[in-house]
Order: sequence, then structure tokens, then C-alpha cells
Amino acid sequence: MNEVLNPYRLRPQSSSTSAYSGLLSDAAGVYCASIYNLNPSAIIKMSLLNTSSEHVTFHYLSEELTANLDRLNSFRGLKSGWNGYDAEPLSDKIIDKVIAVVSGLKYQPTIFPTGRASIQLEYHKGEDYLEFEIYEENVGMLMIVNGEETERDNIDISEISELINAFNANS
Amino acid sequence: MPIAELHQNEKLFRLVIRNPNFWEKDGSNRPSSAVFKDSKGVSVDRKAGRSDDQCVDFLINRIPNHRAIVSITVHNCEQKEIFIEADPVEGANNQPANPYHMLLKKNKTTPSLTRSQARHLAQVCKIESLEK
Repeated sequence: MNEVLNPYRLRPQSSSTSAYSGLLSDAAGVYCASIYNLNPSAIIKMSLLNTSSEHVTFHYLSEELTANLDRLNSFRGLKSGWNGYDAEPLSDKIIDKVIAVVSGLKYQPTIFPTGRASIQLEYHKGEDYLEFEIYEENVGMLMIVNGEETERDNIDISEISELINAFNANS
Repeated sequence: MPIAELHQNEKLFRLVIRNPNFWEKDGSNRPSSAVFKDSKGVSVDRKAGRSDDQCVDFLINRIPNHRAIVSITVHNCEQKEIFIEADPVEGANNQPANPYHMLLKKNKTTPSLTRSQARHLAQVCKIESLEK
């Protein structure tokens, strides 16, 4: 049997390691798992044996990703003038688009809505900075590395992950 | 209003709302550049001879749910060639008058700032008032 359980957040075993353990449950029973050296930003698909020795597949969402998904979903409630000025509500289309992007990222960003119908993803590394501004129809980018700025108004959404990984890897 | 009628050090004030949170998590204690992104230009109130406290109170009384009031100067705008346009609000249909209202624009014809311009303003803005 293979089924997708509801996402569940695992608790850290100790503060000094990245080991996690947790109890996962669904209607079929209770499972126990220990995972070590967990990438904190990962979505991990795992198969476990349940108490009946059946394989069950589930998706684990990291704390960071879960927090970002909660934040993005909270943007659905923003009304006209939500920023105190002339901001319009963010469409479900753009929120869903950003959820899809963020769900596939190895490194989770800091996320902000803007007053111009876009959602901004940010990364900071010392003085260096990487920003993606995601609109319904296109994506813009600003990168500042060693004081040098690069701004692009139209990048392919497929480039995002690679740019983020390169930015975070060069440390 | 041409920039020549604004002096270099004149402050321009903008309100940052509390929810959603616009404060950076990188320890800088500054707002995100997202604060300075609006499709019709970024609304600010010029100081126009008032005290800083008067400018802060004027904004707080008009817009609830605020987290902070930040200010930039005319010079800060000139550093990134940001166009400043006078846009006084006369007041009608329950909208209060605001003779101090200005718009920050990418240039004379394009309202939306570039990402670089918005980032610059976020980096140089002064925190005039910050609620916990």
C-alpha cells in the first residue's frame, strides 16, 4: 500500500545535531522514524514500514517551508489598500505560482508581498543580496554580489532554483 | 513640483504596516525593499517645514495598523535618479486631505521603481518611529 499522508513536522532530537525523530500518524496507525542529517529546507519523500509491515509513503515538509507556505496562504486575505496605501489584493494565481516555486527550493527565502501585485523572495548573505520578484506573468531579479548589482526584468522561472543554489553555495 | 523646490535634506515620510510583516529577518532591523514597491508610485509625505513628530503623527492618525514610520531624503532619491512628483490630495468621499503627499517614481513617465531603487531606499531609510 502506498498513500500520501498529511504533512507532519518532525521534532529535533537535540539542539546539537540535525537529527530528527517523530511520531507520525494517520488513520491506519502510528509510525515511528528517526532521520539524521536532515536538510532543513528539504521536502523528503520517505517510505516506512507501518505496524502492519506495509510500506507507506509520505511527504515531510520542513519547518522553514511550512512557515513560508503559511505566510503565502495568509496573503489570500489581503484586501485593497492592505499596505496603508494603494496596494491591490494578491491573486490566487500568483500566490499559487509562488507556492509552487518555493516548494521546490533547497534554500528557503524570506518572503514579502508588494504593493504592485508581486511577491518578493529574498536571500541575504553578509552584504550580498539576491531577490526575485514574482508577478503573474513574469519574474524579475536583483542580485548584489561584492557590491556589484545585476537587475533583470524577465528571467525564466526555471532559472530561479539554479541561481539560488549558486548564490548560497558560494560562501 | 520640480525637485528644485525641494531642498536636498528635506525628509519624505512613509508608513510601514504591521501585518503582513515587512521587517527583515537578517538582523539588520530594517524594512524590506518591498515597502517601496507600489504600482502607482511610492506614496510619501514631505516634511514641508513641520517637525518630525508632526509628520509621524499625521501618518499614524491616517493609517492604522502601523509598525513603523521611515524617512528618506530628497538627496537619497537623487542618488538613484528617483523622480519626485507632487501629488497633493484635496480630500473627498471620506478621504482626508493631504497637502504633503508626493509620489516617488522610476522616472517622469514610469511610476514603478526599479528593484535597485527600492533596495537603495530600504538601505538608507531612517527609522523615525518603531512599534514593538
